[in-house]
Amino acid sequence: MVTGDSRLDVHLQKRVDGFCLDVQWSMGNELAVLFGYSGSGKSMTMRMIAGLVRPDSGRIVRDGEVLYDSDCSISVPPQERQFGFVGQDLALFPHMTVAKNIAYGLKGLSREESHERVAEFIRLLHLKGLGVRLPREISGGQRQRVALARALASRPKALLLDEPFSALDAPLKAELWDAIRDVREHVRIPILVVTHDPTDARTEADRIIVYGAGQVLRCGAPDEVLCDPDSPEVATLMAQEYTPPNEDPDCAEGLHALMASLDSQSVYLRGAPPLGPQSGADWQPRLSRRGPGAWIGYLKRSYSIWSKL
Amino acid sequence: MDVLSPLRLSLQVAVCATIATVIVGVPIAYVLARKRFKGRSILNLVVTLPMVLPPTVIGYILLLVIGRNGLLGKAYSGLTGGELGIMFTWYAAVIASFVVSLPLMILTSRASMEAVDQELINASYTLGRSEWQTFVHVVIPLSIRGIIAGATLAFARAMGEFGATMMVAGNIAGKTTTMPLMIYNESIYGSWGSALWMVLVFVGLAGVIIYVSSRLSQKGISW
Repeated sequence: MVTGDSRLDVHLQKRVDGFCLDVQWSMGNELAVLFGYSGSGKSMTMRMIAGLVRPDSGRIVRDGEVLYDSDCSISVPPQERQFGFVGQDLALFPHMTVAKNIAYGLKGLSREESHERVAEFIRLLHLKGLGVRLPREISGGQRQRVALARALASRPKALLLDEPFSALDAPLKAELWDAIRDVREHVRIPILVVTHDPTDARTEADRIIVYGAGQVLRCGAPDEVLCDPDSPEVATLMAQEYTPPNEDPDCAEGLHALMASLDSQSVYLRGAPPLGPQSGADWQPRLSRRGPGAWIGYLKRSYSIWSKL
Repeated sequence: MDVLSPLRLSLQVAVCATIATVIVGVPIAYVLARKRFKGRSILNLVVTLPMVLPPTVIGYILLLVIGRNGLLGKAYSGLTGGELGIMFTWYAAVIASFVVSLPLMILTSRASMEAVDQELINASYTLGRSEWQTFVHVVIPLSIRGIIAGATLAFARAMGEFGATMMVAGNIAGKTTTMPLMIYNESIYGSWGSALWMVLVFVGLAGVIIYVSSRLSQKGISW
């Protein structure tokens, strides 16, 4: 079950209650992670790609097929977009058994073909023996896998996973990543995953798309993004991974010593940069952006500390 | 005194009216629960109004619609050749019961449809199912308890309908005299014994209906 090369091009704009999303990125037949703080527009992007939320303007193209184009007034309904979508709360139908949930999206198949397809995904996602149970009768990890099986059973052209790990503890999370890896071996389709866990982004993704305040801050392979964050926000997001505890204990004191003020035009730094064994010229003061919510900090290679103004 | 005839007629009218409220009320409840459109508040007002209007006002409005010169009355007369149209037939009693019980059906099933998680509906859409298929396979099963509770209340209301029924169907013994009208007749003519029997039947029936309805409502969606 291997599909050819796929491509997803996304350019979306949406304004909601003062929040403005304006993003543009592309992905191929790979596992891409939408990564960023909560409220940066990741889930909204997912829902617009799936057709559940209508953008104000933009264009979504998958394998040359235009799914949304505001200029041409094209908006393919979610039923016809052929995306497998798994949301944060999984949305398994509580009145249907596991097998019926998986079979729900199968259309145009004979009863026998449908049974075979369900059996195939029950086997692939290690759900044997659970077909006759209701979602409330299985464990959280099993429910995640059922949701994944249901999304994949109709053979979608791309898979969208909107923070499927948000409510999971570490073992369940690992179990679900295992399941996704299994799926990757059998189904080569673009997989887009929303997460705010930098470890997941770094270890699992082929491509990281970093969101911040409704914009794409950085897009690239995990190593590229980590080595060259390109902006203070991305460095801040990724630094959580790279700040080794107790390596430079004076940094924390330095952060407390830092005082800064900001007006509409300029930033004024007072105090000293982080004091430590290697302090001094290595540290570069950086301002994330002007205006409310800006971050200021000192950057040293990939190791940075930041303070919100 | 023939108690069975009005009881049978009441059941016949109530069952027909309840079926009609389910057929008409469930789609309206769905539209009000899950759609945003111009005129939604007007539709809501129109379908809820019979609950607060006096039965005589509803009866009067029905006379205008199904009476000899009303739109439906004329159409019926044209089809059947009857002089009075639907008036003074048991069909008129069904229409009266349907109108007064429809708001109960809509309000109860609407509440249960609003409780269906939007994410389940979205999931159905992303799995390629149309709105109609989603309505049939997801919304209806998940709000079935509310629909049953609404149908139960509508049945009870239809069984007890008096004022509007009297105005449009009359009080013709053996033809349009339902249980409530029979109780009225017996009380007027001082037949307290037979009236009491019918009252007891009614009280028992109402008790069962309220019990079933409250059980279904309390359980809610517990899939």
